[in-house]
Amino acid sequence: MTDATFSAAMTPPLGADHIAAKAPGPKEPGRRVRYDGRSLDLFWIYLKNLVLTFVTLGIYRFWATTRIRRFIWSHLRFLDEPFEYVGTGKELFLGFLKAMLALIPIFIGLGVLDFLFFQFLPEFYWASELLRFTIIMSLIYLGTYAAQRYRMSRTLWRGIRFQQAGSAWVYLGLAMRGLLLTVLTLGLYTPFVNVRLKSYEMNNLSFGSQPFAFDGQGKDLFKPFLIAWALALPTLFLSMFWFAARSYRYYASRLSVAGLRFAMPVTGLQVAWLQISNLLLLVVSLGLLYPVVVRRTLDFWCQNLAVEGAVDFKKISQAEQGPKTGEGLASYFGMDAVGV
Amino acid sequence: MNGTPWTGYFLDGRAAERHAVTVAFGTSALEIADADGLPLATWPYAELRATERISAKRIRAGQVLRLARGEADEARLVLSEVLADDAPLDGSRLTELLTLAPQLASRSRLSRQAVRRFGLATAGFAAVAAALWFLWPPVADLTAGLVPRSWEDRLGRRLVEELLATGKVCNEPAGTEALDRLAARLTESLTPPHPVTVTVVDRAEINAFAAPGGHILLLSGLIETAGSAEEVAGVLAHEVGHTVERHGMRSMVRNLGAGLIFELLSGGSSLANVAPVLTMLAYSRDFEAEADARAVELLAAANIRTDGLADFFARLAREEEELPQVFAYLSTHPAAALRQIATARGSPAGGPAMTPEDWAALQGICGSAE
Repeated sequence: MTDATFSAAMTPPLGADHIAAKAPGPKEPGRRVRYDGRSLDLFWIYLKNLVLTFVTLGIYRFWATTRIRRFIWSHLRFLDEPFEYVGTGKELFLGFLKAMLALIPIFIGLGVLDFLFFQFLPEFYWASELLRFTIIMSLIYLGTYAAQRYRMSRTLWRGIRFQQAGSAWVYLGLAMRGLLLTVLTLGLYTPFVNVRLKSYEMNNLSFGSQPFAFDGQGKDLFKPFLIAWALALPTLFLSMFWFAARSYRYYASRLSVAGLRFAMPVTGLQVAWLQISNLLLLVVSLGLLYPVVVRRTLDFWCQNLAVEGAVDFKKISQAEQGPKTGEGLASYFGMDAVGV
Repeated sequence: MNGTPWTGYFLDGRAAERHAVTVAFGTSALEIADADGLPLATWPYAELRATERISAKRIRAGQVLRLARGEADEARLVLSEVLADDAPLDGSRLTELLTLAPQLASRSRLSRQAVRRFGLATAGFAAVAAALWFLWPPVADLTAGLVPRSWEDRLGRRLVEELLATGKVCNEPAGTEALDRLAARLTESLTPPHPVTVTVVDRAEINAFAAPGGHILLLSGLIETAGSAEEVAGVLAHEVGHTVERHGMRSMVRNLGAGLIFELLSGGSSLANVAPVLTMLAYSRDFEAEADARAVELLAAANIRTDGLADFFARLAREEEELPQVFAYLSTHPAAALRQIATARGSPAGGPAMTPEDWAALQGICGSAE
């Protein structure tokens, strides 16, 4: 597509939509997402968070996460309109307490079961371990989906909420079935389960009343995966970066929302360099360069995300209210990804 | 004050469309009207909120002001030209707005009330943690006491089997007999009787374990390092002390529960990785002191000189630099220096632990000595 079809989506910093329609073309065609947060500003928030979290014996961490998100969201701009994070520390804290209540009986039950197996059925001890693994994995998948639902419901753009519909249990079912098949096929099922999960997630995502659509199919990624899989050992698994980049390109090309289409022309080398250099920065600085890593990561994805198409913003209306508390389960399993 | 209308755009929180608006200062509210002058919204000054904090000193020409009404409403008002180029801050529209809605410029989000709340929450959290720290051990001990002896024995045997898989069992008959005689002497005085089974494993590390159910393991490195039979007797008495006090079972229940409590309270934060180790160390320190005291009693009752354990630790401390494997022992036990204080009560009064022949046999329990 060319810039001509883009007209309705272009908006100068402070104009209303009908003014925007006449605006001149952008300097970099297709590149619409920007991150303009200053690392130093984020660094001060990060430092203050560290101190307060330490002083409060960890209680402040929910409010710390919220501050970081508010900063990052507000400096991420699409079509010159910033995102806004409207979640609160209190919601995360209450979500954590809820998860704690749910986990107490599960953990105690697992402990007792483990002991009983060890005592009376030592030859079937593997069954207890398998059960524990299955339950922990299930909690991780459930937590991930619930966290995504909360995060999306607290993300605002142009005053409109995102919404992650769908059921965490259905997602869990897909994930566990995929995990089983992946194990049985020595990993070859990986691209199918990856795409299936991405598909469920994306087809249940919407911006206000506008649903996202994703029509990816696992078979399209099977050949690249087979190549990466075959080359994994000789390349010390570096071939997986190439596969990851291939997946990102594919996912972006299969995604659409409200008449917009996406492209993410990244290469394996770029992804490998980004991740390895970020890891090194974090390790060498003992985590203090986290703000720099955030900026590098966001810059990378923003610069590589191309968006094309035209949107009729009048037709996008508000989404339903999201959950009242947030992502307690996910925080138990270290799911707070870098940058969030 | 300022004659030119303030322009910007309005997002009504119902649709994603931007409305070009002009804003006027009313008596008690901000009046928002569309391009044709039709009123879109009226936002009372008292309910205005800036989605990003405004610092009047840092405001620059061209900066944008994003306003919301209250916490829940998703409508946003975005004002441009906060400050016209080269215009003074005094008397500007921004100053006027900040006078009418002073909360927009309030500096710190961490209000006094928030500080008090976080302070209370932290104190409460610390109190709960402290209560659990002190209450849990007696509860855990009570729970451990409910476990039938037969379960404990089976558990101990399973653990020993796993440890035995890491090395060959040493069972030269003469050495085994010598060791069994020593174990029998040490446990003779106990009522009710506590049967123990002592096994030597061929491993270079200096260490000994007391698994639940009286299953004691000595690593051959310990026997090789010991300078006398009394030192081995001291270590063995210490492990029997663990058995008598059921430390194996008790520490298992204590650590399981402590791990669970910390996992739940810390919720996956990095604290979760450190805390169980800390509690384990703290609990084991109590247990070690208890076992030391028991060891002295058992040795005295068996008429064996009671300074063997102290001698053994003194040697370990002295030879620390020469023997790197010593660390294997120290890592699961409190610092050698502390142990010496605990066992300082030992005295040279009392007889030998075994005959010179038995001691020689015990040293050769793993067969051909190197």
